[in-house]
Amino acid sequence: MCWSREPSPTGEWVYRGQAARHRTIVPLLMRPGLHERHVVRGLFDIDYDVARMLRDASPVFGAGALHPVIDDAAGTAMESLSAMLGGAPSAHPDVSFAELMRALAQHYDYPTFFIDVSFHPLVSALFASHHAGSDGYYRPSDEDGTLYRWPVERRSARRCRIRGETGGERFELGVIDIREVHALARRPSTQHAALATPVHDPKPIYQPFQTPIDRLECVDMGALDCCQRFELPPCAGHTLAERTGANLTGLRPDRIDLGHSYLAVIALLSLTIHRPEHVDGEMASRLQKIFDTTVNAARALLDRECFRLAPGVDVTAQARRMALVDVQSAIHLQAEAARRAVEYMGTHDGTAQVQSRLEAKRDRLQELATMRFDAWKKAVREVKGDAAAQALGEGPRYTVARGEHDWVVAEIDRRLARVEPILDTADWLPLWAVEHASQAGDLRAVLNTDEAYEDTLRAQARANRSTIEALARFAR
Amino acid sequence: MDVPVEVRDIVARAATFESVGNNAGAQAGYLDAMQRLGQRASVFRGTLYINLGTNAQDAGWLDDAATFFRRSIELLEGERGEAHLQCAHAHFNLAHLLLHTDDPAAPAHAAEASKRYHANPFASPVDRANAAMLSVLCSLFILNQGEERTLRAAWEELSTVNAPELNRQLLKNFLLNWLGFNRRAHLGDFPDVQRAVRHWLGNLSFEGPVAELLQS
Repeated sequence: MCWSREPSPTGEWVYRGQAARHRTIVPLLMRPGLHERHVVRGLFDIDYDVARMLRDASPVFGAGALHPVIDDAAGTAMESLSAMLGGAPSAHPDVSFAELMRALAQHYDYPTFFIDVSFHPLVSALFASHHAGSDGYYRPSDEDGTLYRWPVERRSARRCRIRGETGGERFELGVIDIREVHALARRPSTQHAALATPVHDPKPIYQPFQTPIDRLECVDMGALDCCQRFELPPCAGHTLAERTGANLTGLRPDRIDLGHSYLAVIALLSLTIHRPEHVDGEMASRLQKIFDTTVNAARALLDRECFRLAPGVDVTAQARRMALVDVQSAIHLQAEAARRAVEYMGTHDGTAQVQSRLEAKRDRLQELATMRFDAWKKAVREVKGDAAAQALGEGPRYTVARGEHDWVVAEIDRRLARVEPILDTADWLPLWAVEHASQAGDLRAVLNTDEAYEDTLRAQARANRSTIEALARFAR
Repeated sequence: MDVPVEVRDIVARAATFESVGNNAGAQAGYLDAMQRLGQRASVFRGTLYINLGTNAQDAGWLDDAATFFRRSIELLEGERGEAHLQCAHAHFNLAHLLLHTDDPAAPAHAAEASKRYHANPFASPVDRANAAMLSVLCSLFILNQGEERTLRAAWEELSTVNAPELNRQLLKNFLLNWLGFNRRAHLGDFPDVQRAVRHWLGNLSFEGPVAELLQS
């Protein structure tokens, strides 16, 4: 590990660790199956409005406490322009809310186009030398591991870049630094997290469709000439854990991680609730009411999580306004409604109806883009000729394949399964009360408690604390 | 809380019936859900009995309502977490119902509701204030006991919440006694009390004796 003390030619390194049998470093969403399902169906997307509502109302993450994001007028304008063009506002020194949410989604196991990297070599070494068990927890692995690192140039407090060459081409990959994330979003915070963006979408601007996977450009970060690698011997995980005291349970907590709770709820809601955008009249007001009820239920649940996990945070009015039994009903019923809607989409009538709605949506998008799109085509024709301009008009059509609904229902169930434990623990003893038993006397009489549950929480909290201490020691 | 989705659907449908005034349909739905659950999910069943009780109370079936609230307390008693709060609601509803029938059990249920609301961190300040008013009224009407200390404590409790959010019937009766007591016992300070109550009520107005006491 001695090369970790060599100075970076650019001033800083970012690291990544993975099992040696994985030969390339590409994002999960670049796998063809996942790409078609998540990206083309738009299912990987977080509903940013819902996410924003939940963040702003949070007694812990509200008022910019989750992580600083772009909030000046020029930056916001740049952010919406970039979103319209299908990219991130990488020229701005701050990260956008969408980038932040996707970065967090990546950390909490929802696939994105990001690659997790860390500013801390020990974090990456631990990931290189551990493997995930069927229960989701990481244990020391018997396999070889590889630790990679890249020199990064800092562009601002929250943006860096990696410059390198592969296959005779030069690339510049963006890296966002989210180490300032709130400490109760424990995974990214403990992991000294940064996210690299090796995927580039070369689609012509104003093209309003999702780009198919074979047109996306993805750089294998391990193949860049600036990448250095270090092989870890088999069983290095045992040695590392023993010598440093850091471990993967501490780096990847879940039930004591407020960020995990927020992302689990946001991911489920992104798939199950919809604003009444294409309907009018009574149906619109009914759907709006369902939407509001479900968002309020999510707020009540997450406010309970804040009370459970953050010392000193009082129970909010929203958590008091909605009984837990109503929260559970609202979330389950909405998931069931979404399942039924997806199953209906699988029928012939449903397919036809959804197809026509998607085509109408596409027509509206095209109409909006036409003026600027024509201007762009004209400019391209002048520079590159007619063939290139005609190619700009091509794009994949929205289609709803029958049979796909099984997978979408499975995805709803997968996301609901992550929210279930949060619903189950919502009326248990607060973690801070477990840690400071002397303050918990009154609460123990009224809140549920369970020895096994408390033991799990204590073990997770202990692992988390010892990992943070070990990482701090290593950094010194 | 292991409740099958079809039972949740039945409960949701029954709640819709209740909200549009179809009390018989709502009761049938809740009882159907209860039958399907059998002996499972006792906390959920306890909560369902509260729905049955409020539904029966709205329909005027007061004996049934009291039975449902008592059954709910039996199921929720001793449970913690959400059940602790739901049990407080059951005690409150039962005490409120029994107050109207001059039942001597009302003060004990009101005191229990108040105790639970104060212990539970998820209880709303409005629930606490309603329970404080109910306790005072039970003491006055059933036990014929009225202490300045309890009246003052209840006023301090409810003056911290928005008046329109409180139970209007309880509020009217409480104000009648609070203002009446102050006029009798502290005539010199009565204008200050009137001003404080009027300021707290804001746009909320009352007719009859309460209005007279506020203006006199």
